[in-house]
Amino acid sequence: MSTLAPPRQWTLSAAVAIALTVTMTVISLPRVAHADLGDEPSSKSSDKSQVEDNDKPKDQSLLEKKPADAAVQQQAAPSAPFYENWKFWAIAGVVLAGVVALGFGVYYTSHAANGGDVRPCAMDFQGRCFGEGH
Amino acid sequence: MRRVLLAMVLASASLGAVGCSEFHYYDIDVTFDTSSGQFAGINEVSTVQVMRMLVSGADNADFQIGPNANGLPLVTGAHLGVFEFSTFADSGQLTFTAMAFDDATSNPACLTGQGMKTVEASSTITNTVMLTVNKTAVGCVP
Repeated sequence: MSTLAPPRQWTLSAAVAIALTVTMTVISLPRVAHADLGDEPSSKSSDKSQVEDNDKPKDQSLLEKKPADAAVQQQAAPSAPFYENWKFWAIAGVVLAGVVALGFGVYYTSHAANGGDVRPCAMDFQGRCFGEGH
Repeated sequence: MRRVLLAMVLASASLGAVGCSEFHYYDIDVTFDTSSGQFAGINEVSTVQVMRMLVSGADNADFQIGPNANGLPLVTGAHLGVFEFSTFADSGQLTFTAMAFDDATSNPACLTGQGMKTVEASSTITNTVMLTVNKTAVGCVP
């Protein structure tokens, strides 16, 4: 003969209790979601029911954003890399073109100042051309 | 704006200070003298294998033609043709000295003919100079 207690028999009351627990849980979930931290309290109820905030200034100009605030906010914002700015490439292109043009200009000016190209040797001279440029 | 103008003026002045060079060409037309007592016709002129040209005065150069190139040795006549010398010199005097050797080298013992011409350098682009090579020595060919 076994000394262990016999297994509990599930009754109707237990089933009702479980069903009520599940139902209450399901019904309460959407309300918890709505009770988010970011929700604004309703102005009507807060104005009347809450104690007046003495720290809140009466002068609205004190609450307005100052130019300094905008500058700080702009500095805090992440800036795009310089190479993604079209002005950078435009300036770089102009500078590069200027350097190349200056190089060609100096070369051709120097070449022209040094007499330019020597004239080719005539065929009937049979290669008897000498001196500068040869 | 004034600084830019000043920079441009200085740049122009520096370019002007550099100066411009211009090529001047001296075409030395060389002929062997085959008159009496000189080279004995093509038989002797054809023994010339090397010619050396010296330039002195307003410019200096030393160049050589031949053997078996640049028209040497001559096979007909006594007219070798033109040596063209290019220079930037446009003032002073230029002296051209042509030396003929009847050997494949410019061995002084084989110098058989020589000619010289002095001209005034000028701003003219092309200057033609007639130069005659005279028989000056027996050379190395009997």
